[in-house]
Amino acid sequence: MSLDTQTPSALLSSASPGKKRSSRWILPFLPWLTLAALLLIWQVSVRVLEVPVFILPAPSDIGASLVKWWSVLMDHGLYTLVNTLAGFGLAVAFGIFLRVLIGSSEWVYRALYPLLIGFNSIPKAALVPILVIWFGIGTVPAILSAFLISFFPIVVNMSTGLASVEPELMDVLRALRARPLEILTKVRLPRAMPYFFASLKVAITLAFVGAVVSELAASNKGVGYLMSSASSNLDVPLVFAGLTVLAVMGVLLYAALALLEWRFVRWAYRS
Amino acid sequence: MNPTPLVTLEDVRLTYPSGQTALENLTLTLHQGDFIAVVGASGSGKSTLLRLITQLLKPSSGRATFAHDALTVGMAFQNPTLLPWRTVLENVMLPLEVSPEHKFKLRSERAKYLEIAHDLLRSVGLEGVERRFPWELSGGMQQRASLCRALVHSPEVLLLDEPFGALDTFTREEMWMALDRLYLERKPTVVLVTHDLREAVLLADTVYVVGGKPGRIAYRQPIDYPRPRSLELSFLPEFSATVLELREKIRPGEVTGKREVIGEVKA
Repeated sequence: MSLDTQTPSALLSSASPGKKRSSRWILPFLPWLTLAALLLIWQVSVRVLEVPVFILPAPSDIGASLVKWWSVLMDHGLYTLVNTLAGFGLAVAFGIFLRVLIGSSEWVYRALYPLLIGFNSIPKAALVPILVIWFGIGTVPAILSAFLISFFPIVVNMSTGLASVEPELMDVLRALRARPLEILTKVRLPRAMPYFFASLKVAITLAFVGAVVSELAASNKGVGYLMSSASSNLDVPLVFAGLTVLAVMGVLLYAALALLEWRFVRWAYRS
Repeated sequence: MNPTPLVTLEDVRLTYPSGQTALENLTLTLHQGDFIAVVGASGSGKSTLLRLITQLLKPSSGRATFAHDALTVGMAFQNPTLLPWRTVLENVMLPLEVSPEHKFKLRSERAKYLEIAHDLLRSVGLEGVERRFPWELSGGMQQRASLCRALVHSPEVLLLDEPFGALDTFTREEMWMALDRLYLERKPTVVLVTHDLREAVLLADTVYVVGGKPGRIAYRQPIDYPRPRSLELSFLPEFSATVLELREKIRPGEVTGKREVIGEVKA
């Protein structure tokens, strides 16, 4: 994606104006070249050092396994994706709800916020066994652990965003006799949007972790389950193929949100 | 013009909940079309005076009377406070979206309102940047847009709280002339709060000096230069004498020695 390279390349070009312009076109491809170089080193060293395939398969072995198990991987991948998105969706809805609740009064804030911070310091993966006791093996614990692990950053970031409106602007709006709801929708919410999108990018990555951890521990479907069963069969290339699918999905989810962010709150990233 | 004043403050005192009294013995009348400037040292209660006129604050004692309850005001500050996610035009249209006088008509008479906004932007030299975002504009241009936002709903009183304080000298002088033109064209009622005595004398018809602790009106100076006023005016000896005289009222004794050098003092 060219999204993430935008800022550094802008910085670079302002640092050396007009110089070495001819080679600039290569910048967006640089991460891909780095990746290709790493894979090449990996491939060559595995072959030269004759590492057994059940310890570290070469990229070509992983590629072959990807091709061989493609439809199975896609099937499990889709399952993991659906669980992740369901947990993420719940986290966004509940995060906004909780934020509005906390913002509604000082009392609620005092009563809830310290507890939330306490809750956040529990390692959420440790909740999976409990979720399994309650909801059995499968979809529900995966969605719930994705949800539990990802709602907190949304609540905290929205809090920062809603707080910041200049006092002069509030005077302008009050002198115009704007209603509180109008101030919320026209000023406070748009102002909180950059924080909200930043939190979504963190939350989607965490939701993904939550879903996979739950699948690894207790599931009969999903990429996490596929990897743990491939591992017990010593099919190490398939384990790595599963990891590759997870990596690609993670990057794509992040990129999709970054694209939304670019579309809606570009003003916050002005140069 | 209009015999009933827009705003009358009579012997007003304002004490904040903290117990600190910001203004005292304040009497001031504002008529339709007046252009007054309020000058004074920092912390003398100038901004408190503005908040009284906007009815954001109620006097602790004394009387504040308004021509009617829902006096419409436009405000601009040292900080342009434009919304960065809105274009210049959308920023200028904001008051029309929230003020009860206009928001219900905005949809049906959008074309008329857009024309008002475009006219305003044109009169301060901002044509062609309506679709730009605030951060793409210079500080002076942002301040002009902020002025347009303060004027777009044709408020009965325009309140300016050190609007040009953050600009460089040349930009500030340009803005003075832009404000003078706007005033001539539209005849709004203006209250300009400023540190800058030259700005006050150049733009206003009456300059009020607020001083003391708690603040009160220490001096009232009518200014009767004809409009449009030009920057050259501010280099005339009698202009400087007026500025110096006002300065004396704020910080007495600092420049008495130089009085003879400047020339005769305007009565």
